[in-house]
Amino acid sequence: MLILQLFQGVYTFFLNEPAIAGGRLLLIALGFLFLYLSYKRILEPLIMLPMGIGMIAVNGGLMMFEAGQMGNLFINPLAGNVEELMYYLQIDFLQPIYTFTFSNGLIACLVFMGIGAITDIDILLAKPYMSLFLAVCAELGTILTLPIAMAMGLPPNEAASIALVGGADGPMVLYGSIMLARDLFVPITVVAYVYLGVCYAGYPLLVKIIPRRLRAVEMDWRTIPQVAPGAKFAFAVITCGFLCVLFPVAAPLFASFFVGLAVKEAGVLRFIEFLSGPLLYGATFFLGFTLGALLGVDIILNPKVLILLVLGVIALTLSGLGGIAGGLIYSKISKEPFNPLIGIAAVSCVPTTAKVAQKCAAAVNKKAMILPFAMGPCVAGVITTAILTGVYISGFVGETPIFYSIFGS
Amino acid sequence: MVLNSLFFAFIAYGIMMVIALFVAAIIKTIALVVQRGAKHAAAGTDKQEG
Repeated sequence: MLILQLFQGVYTFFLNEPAIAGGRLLLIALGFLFLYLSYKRILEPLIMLPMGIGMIAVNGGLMMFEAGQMGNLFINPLAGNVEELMYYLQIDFLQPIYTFTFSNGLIACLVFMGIGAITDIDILLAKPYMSLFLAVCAELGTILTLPIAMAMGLPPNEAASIALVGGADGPMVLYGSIMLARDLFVPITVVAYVYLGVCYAGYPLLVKIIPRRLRAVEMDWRTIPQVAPGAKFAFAVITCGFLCVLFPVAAPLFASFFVGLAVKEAGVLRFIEFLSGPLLYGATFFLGFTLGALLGVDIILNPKVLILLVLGVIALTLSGLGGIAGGLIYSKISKEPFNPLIGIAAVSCVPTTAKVAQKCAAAVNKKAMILPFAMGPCVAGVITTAILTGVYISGFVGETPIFYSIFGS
Repeated sequence: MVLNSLFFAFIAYGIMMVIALFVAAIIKTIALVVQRGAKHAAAGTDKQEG
């Protein structure tokens, strides 16, 4: 046993209760699975690869501290008072990242700035009614998961937080869950990112409910009207101001997304390079790695995690179905040929769902080029999800939560 | 409580729809203003040439 104390990661397995030791092994195995799936490009490697490494390292690297306490040298998310926090900031190497970028939602905002700087809004501006109609339909999961989660026993703030998974927007889920249910933000965000990765494989099965002949409809992208660069810049500035005035609680998200968009449309090359390169990928890397390091054994021993896993599937399936229904309705009312697969792109996982729509269209008709059209609803979905995030945060947290004001506590 | 949350969810959906409509209106207004601006600019150039 003495020799084992030299290898503390192994030694602590013997000191743990069987359930905790088993949980650690399970999370290490899950970390390896994430790494394998991201290496094979089945899951999104930008997030899942650093997350997998973080999970293996934090669950393997448990060690003994003074007074027989066990811990790691990564993060202590429970550090409460200032003295404790200062101690862990000097000991745990990811603590500064967590304290200064996670607990205030900054990391989500940084990712959003980068996303804004790479987002193409031409179709949204050329076809705003089509884009926003589909985006509204594709929020079905975000809406219906709220009462379903409450029926399954979650309190309103946690129910709203997991319902945001239906918006299929990782940084938004992270920001929303930090605001709404801080205790559950790690499992909710991980559930969101894992399922968003799985969307790429799952949605092609879901869209098979659309008749094959409709999936094969060709659309002429040359008919898309040109949008003046000035109009795109004006849209970014005016919409940002409009949404910030309506929802100050979600203003950091709106400001981050639209500042990226404004920089892109103004053509400030140095900023575009910075936001869409080092900032976006740096923030995404640390987001994945820190989330992995936060996935300690206490997370999976929480009985709510199983409920969150079920609700995540429900939210994304309902949103997908809503998007498909929107696509089918729009194909009926549209005067021009319209491929209803574009509806699935309105589930705003930019640009994954747009790529899924194109992949499914090309599978039945190689000439069907719908990707340019699909980007419009995809971007509109980011805006509608941000609006719902604002409504939910205003509804369930703060000085006077609207939900309790309307219905009482 | 579950029923209340269902009502709240529908209220949220309504709010989102109205705001989405406003966003679409903003886009259309901007397009109109930009189009008029371009027309005025073109008319100005024609006058100078005439």
